[in-house]
Amino acid sequence: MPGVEKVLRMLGELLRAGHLTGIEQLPGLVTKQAAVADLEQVHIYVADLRQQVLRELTGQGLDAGEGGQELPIENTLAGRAFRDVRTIAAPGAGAGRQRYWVPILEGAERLGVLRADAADGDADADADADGDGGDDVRQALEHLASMIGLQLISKNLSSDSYARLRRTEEMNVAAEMQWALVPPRSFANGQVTISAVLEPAYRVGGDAFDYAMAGDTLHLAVFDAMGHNIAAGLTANLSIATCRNQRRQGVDLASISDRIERVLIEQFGPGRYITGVLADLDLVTGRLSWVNRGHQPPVLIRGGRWVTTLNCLPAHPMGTDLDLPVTVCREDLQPGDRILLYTDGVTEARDAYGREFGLSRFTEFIIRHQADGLSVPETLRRLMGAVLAYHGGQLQDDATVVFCEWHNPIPDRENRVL
Amino acid sequence: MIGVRPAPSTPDGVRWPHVPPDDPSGHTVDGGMTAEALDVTLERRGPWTVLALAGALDFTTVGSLARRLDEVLAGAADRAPPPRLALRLADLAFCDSSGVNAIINVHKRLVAVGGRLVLVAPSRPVTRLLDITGLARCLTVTDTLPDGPPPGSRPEDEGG
Repeated sequence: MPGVEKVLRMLGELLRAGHLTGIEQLPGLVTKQAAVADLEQVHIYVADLRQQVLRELTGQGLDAGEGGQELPIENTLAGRAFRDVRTIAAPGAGAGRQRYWVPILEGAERLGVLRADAADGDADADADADGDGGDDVRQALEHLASMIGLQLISKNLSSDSYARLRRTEEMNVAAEMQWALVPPRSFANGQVTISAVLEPAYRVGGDAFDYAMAGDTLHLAVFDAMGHNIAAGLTANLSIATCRNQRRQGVDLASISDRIERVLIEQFGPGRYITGVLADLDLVTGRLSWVNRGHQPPVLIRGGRWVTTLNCLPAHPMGTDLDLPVTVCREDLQPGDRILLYTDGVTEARDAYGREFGLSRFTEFIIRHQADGLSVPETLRRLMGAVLAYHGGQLQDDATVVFCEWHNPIPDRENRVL
Repeated sequence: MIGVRPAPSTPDGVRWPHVPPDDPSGHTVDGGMTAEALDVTLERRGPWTVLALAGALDFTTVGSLARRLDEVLAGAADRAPPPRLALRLADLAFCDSSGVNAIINVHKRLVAVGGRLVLVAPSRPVTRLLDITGLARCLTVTDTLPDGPPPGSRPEDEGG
């Protein structure tokens, strides 16, 4: 059983040595330092881009995964730890020991799973009058997994091997641009949870999403550029860069969308356009403001069952130069309200008989899986699996969903006072 | 936009029905369509040039529509009176963003020479698309051709 001092020593050494470590050296460093805290047989598994398999990070070869195991996310213990975002202990590590599977997180983003063998903390817990003594092993492992998550995120920025390890298919140039463009797929704090999916992950064309916090404001955006090729990817890149540039200068939503239009016309002339919804959510009051530029209206889910679309007179798609006035619409959210921004590739995916996946199937899927207690990222992972399966495994259009839940703001107000 | 899209029947995915140049009725009968190809039928109705689109207008078929529009509008700027073009969309089952772009482009071309574009009797999916994109607010969308009987009222047009 790792004592607090041993755990601190392990984490401290990982922090210190981590500064001069690449992805390739990370497994070796982790194994060595985990031993300090009596954690053995430590293996790091990284989820692929589509979150269908977990690939072992060995540090060997061009993808840093040579000689490693690959575990499916469905029907394995490792996968269950990933899907349910919780630590799982199972026999198999010898007498008095357990094999643990621990999700590796960075914020709300699931990166993979950590495997380790350790003394049977759960058995101790049963014998422990306080019932908390056995949590030591789990806590040590979860700290270790958090540290690995931080290291993976920071090293990933200078690594090709990490990108290669996460790919199970060849990626096209447009998708390469889109993945470099978008923020992490999940984010959460006390006020809000955001999660997004983007498919087809290896051949995405003109879809993109964005979000960012500034003070009490959350910026949200979803875009769908005309076409499915590199030009569509360039349109999306230019649009998001313009959007970020303008909002960081305090420009309002309607003007941001007008500026995107001007930049697209300056760069591409007529004939390239992008639709989108740009929104600001005030995290204190719950007021959502948005503009709709020729895009599917957002969906509001309230109380886990009441669903409505947030209709706002749409202005023309950005880049079409059609001169419609841009309307800013507002809606006061209630705590727990969920907003879905999406592109038509989700709802218009068709089965073999030409029937659409449809908006109601989409929202019912989200509501049902949320009611089952699944995390938001896991709900979206399964949604995309369902959309892909519905469409026979191959999407012809880009499909994007951005999910945003506004939490009850009262605890945060109290925290702020404290 | 998405659609079930079998391999097109011709390299550019478009079949042009034969249009007799001097058909006395001025009407043509839709030659029938295969799934997800685009059929374009030309008719002249008084001052209007009517293109009836049937099937799917998407990135695989839009190039041919653009060429057809070029033919129809060739020399339009010098013509008097200015051209009036109607796109009949009742049988257009599917339209993607490149199709929307083609419609916007022809609208701009006609406006530039003082002409007119109307979209006649769009199908449900196309109506939805025009509403979502805001185009229903900048383009003229009608159930029937102005100054004429409903284009869908003649037996030749029914049932494709």
